[in-house]
Amino acid sequence: MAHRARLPGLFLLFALAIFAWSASLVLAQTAETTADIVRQLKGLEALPELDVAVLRQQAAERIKSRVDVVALKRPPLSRELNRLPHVNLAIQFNPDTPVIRPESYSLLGRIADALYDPALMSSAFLIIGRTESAGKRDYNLMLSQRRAEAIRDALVTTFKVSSKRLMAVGLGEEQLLDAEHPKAAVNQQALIVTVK
Amino acid sequence: MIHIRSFVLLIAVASLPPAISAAMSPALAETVSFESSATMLSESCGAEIDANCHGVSFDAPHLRECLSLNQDAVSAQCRADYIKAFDAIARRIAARSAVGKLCQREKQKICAEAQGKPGDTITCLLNAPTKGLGWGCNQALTQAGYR
Repeated sequence: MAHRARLPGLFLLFALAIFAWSASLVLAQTAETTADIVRQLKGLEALPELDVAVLRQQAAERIKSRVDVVALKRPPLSRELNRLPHVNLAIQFNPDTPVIRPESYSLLGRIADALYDPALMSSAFLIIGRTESAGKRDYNLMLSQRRAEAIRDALVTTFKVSSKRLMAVGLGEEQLLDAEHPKAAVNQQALIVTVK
Repeated sequence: MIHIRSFVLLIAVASLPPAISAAMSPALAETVSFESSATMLSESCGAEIDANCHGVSFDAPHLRECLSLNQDAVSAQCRADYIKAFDAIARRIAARSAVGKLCQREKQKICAEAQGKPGDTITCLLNAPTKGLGWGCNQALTQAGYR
C-alpha cells in the first residue's frame, strides 16, 4: 500500500524532470536575452573554410541548374554552417522588402549588445538571410541577400559594430531551417554564424 | 582648497578629447543597453515609422532624419523618445569606445597577455581587482555597462 502511495509522487517527479529537460532544450535554441545569443555564438574551435563568394555562387548555380527542385527535404547548401556556433533570429521585415519592422528593433539592439560582449568582441560573423519556399527561388535568393545586408547595415550604422566583423549573404530557400515544412514561416529566420 | 581642486578637475575634463570627456561627464554616468534604447524607439515610434517612413530600415541617420522631417505628423511621445533613444545609443557607443583610451595604462601594465585582442583585454580588466585600476578606467568600465 505504501509503495502504491509513492507511485504518483514518483511519476510526478519524473514528469517534472522531463518537462525541465525539454524546457532547457527550447531555451537553448532561443535568443530571448543577450546572454542567450552570446552563449550560442561563442566557442568557435577552429577557423572554418568558408568562402562567402563561393557560397553565393553555389546557391545561384543550384537554382540555375534546377538541382533539388522539390523543396521538401531539400538538403542545406552548406552543412558546415549548421556545425558552427550559430543563432537563429526571427527578425521581421516588411513583405517583399529588406525593410526591418519596428517590432524587431529590440532584437537588433540585443544582437548589438551581444556583439559588444567581451566573449564575442574579437570574433567575426556571417549574417545569412533566408526565406521560406514560396514564389521563385531566384527571387527569394535576391531578397534574402538584401535582407542579410539590411541586418548588417543596421548593426554597422546604428550601433557602430565594425563592418570588418560582419559579412552578409543571402541563401534564399537553399538553407531551410525546417526542410520537412519548407513553406513554414520559421524558414524566414535569419542566421548569424561565428566564422572567426 | 577644495574649490580650487574641483576647478582644476573641471578644466582637465573639459580639455579631454570629446569621446573621453563624454564618457566621464556626470550627465552620461549611466549608459543603457542598446536593446533598451531600441525598445523605446520601437514602442514610442513604431506606428509613426510605419506611417511616415515607408522604405526606411533600422538605419539611425536615415530614421532620425525621417522622424525629424515628419515632426508635425508624429506624436509628442515619439518626438521626445526618438531623440532620447538615439542619444542613448550614441552615449553607449562613446562610452564603449572611451574604455580603450581611459584604460590605456592598465591595458599595458596588467593586460599585456591579451595581446591587444579587444575581448580578452576587457575580460582581463574586468577580472582585475578594482583597486588595481585607475579611477578613470574604473569609471569607464562602469559607464560602458561592462559591470
